[in-house]
Amino acid sequence: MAQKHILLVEDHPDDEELTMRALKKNNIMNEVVVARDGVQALEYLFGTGAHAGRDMDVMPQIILLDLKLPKIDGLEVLRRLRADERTKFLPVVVLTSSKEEQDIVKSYQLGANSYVRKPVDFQEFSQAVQNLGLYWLILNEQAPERVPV
Amino acid sequence: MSEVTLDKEVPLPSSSIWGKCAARILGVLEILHNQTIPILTVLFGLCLLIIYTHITQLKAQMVETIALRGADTYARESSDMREWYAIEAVQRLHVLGIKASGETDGAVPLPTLLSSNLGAQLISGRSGERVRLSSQYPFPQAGDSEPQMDKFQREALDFLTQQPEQSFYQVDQVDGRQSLRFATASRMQEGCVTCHNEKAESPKRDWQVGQVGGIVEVVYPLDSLEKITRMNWLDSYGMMGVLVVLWLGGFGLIVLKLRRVSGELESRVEQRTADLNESHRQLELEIHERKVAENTIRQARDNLEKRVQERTAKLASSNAELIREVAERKRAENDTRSLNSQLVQRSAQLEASNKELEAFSYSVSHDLRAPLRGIDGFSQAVLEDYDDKLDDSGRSYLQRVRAASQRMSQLIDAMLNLARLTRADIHTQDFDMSTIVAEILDDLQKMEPEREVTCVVAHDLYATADPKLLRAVLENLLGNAWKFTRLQEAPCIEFGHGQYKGQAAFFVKDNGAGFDMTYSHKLFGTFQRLHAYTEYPGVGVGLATVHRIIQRHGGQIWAEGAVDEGATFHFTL
Repeated sequence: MAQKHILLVEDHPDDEELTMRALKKNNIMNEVVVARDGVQALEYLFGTGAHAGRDMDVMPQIILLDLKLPKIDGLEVLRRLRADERTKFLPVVVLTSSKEEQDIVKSYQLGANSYVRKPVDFQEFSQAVQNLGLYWLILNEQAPERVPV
Repeated sequence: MSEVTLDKEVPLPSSSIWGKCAARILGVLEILHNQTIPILTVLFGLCLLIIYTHITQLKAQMVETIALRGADTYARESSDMREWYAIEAVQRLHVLGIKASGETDGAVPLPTLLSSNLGAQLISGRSGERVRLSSQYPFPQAGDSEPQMDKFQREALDFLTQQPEQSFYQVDQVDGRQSLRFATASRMQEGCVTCHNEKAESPKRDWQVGQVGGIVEVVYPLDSLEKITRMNWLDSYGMMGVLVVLWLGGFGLIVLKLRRVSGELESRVEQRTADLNESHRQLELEIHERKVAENTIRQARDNLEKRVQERTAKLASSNAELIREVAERKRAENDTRSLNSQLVQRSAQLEASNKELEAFSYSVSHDLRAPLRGIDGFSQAVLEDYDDKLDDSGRSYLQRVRAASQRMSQLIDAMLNLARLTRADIHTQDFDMSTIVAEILDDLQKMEPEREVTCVVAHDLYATADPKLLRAVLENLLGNAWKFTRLQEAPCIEFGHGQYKGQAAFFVKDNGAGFDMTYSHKLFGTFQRLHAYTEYPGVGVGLATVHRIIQRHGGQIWAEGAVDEGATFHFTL
């Protein structure tokens, strides 16, 4: 788990499958951790619950966050991430079906780094995933893991 | 009762008499007033006459008084002198034995003789005064010279014998001269009596002391006195004449002044009379007008009363109507109130349904697309992973599945867009429509650089609207124009502003496929399409969106066109 990995927060198995396929098709071989609701995502990120005792030095290189999630929704997950010192600089790409203005505005207000709408056309979706991988996993320089207080 | 009748009857004649008297007095006064100058002249003449008469009388009296005084003095002096002479001279001489005689030469003259001689002396020495003695019993020595007593002398002697203390006088002609004849009694003194009674030649010898022996007459001519007084009176008359002249002058001046004043007064009176006549005429006119106005007012008042009555009747009826109306209003108010509460309920419901719609469209936005992605994605996965197991028709079907899902996605997006525009707030401002049109056409050209479309855009067309929503309208209309001129050999798109059936409107015109006016009412319906999808792809929401936006701006939109002859969309804001 030392290498750069991806946290995919996605409740729908079809979308999960299609995202994995798109990543694979674009030769993005980084490990993908999947959280199927907001609670799971937060437990993973803060090392609690099912993920208690996880190595907290290892944080995902990029979080692909769906908004519509069971239990705790994506915007709430984003708010809690940004409220915590350990996760406040983690790159978060909101990857969701809607392009409702209120979703976009709220996401940026809460500190999302990017907002991408999932296209219905798989080829377009695949293209988007490729671009995201290229940018966030390769081009983007992440903030230091331990941020000096 | 009799008193009452008297009271009733008497005052009438008395009052009528008084009235007649007063009328007569007034008449006389009137005449006096009218004939002032002649009357004044007559009065003045009368005054002069009276004064003249009075002065003449006064003159006569004065002459007489002076003459009387003079005569009296002469008479008294003559008597005193005779008495003195008789007592002091004759009587003393008589005692001595010397007797007075009537002889004129060398003898002691008798007192009477002395008096006669003195009287004669006086005539010659003075201006005609004379003293004479006369008696019933004339002294013989002196008597010769004395004629018989005339009528005056006899009357005087008779009178003075009766009243010896008085005097007797008369104006008479003496020697051709107007003269006063004055007589006093000559009474016997003690000395006289002695002589007269002793003398032998005495015609009477029983004289008593105090008895009247004769008269002393003084003749006093008046003509010289009158001459003197006439001189004075002439002066007086001269003075009077001057006074008269002065008075007449003054009087004339006053008359002239009065004439002028009266002339002025008359002219003033005439003027005033004319003024009065004029004002009288005006007053009459005014009175006439007043009367006319009064009549008019009366008529108007009658009319007004009639109207008031009518109006009152109307008011009463309208009052009843009002009462009815109020009742209706109350009912209507109640209805309104209930409707209001219904409305409140309805708007709450609407708000709820709006929220529901929002939640719904949010949900659609998220949940309706996810399955489509699955359909498309896994179709693609089958095409990629199982290509060898598929024949051409299988691959074709899968492609159709994918196309359908993509079209469905477009429909969902269009619907969401329409819903969003329906809800969005409108923020109007002035902005340049021409610039936006140019930008949109530029974008369309960039998307299909190979197409050659003639674009005619009118400059500087400004509008007051929500720029974002108007941009959506123009994107749709210009997008349609761009799309439907695809098959045109020389495509042309025009944007401008003009009058259309008396209404100022913007327009977007193209020479593309156009449409059949028979179906123009379907143009703006949701999901309505007039062309085959294969020919001109589209979801049928664009014009519905445009229509909704124009409606929300309070404007209108309508279209004209014919098949293969292009279409023109007009809209107002």
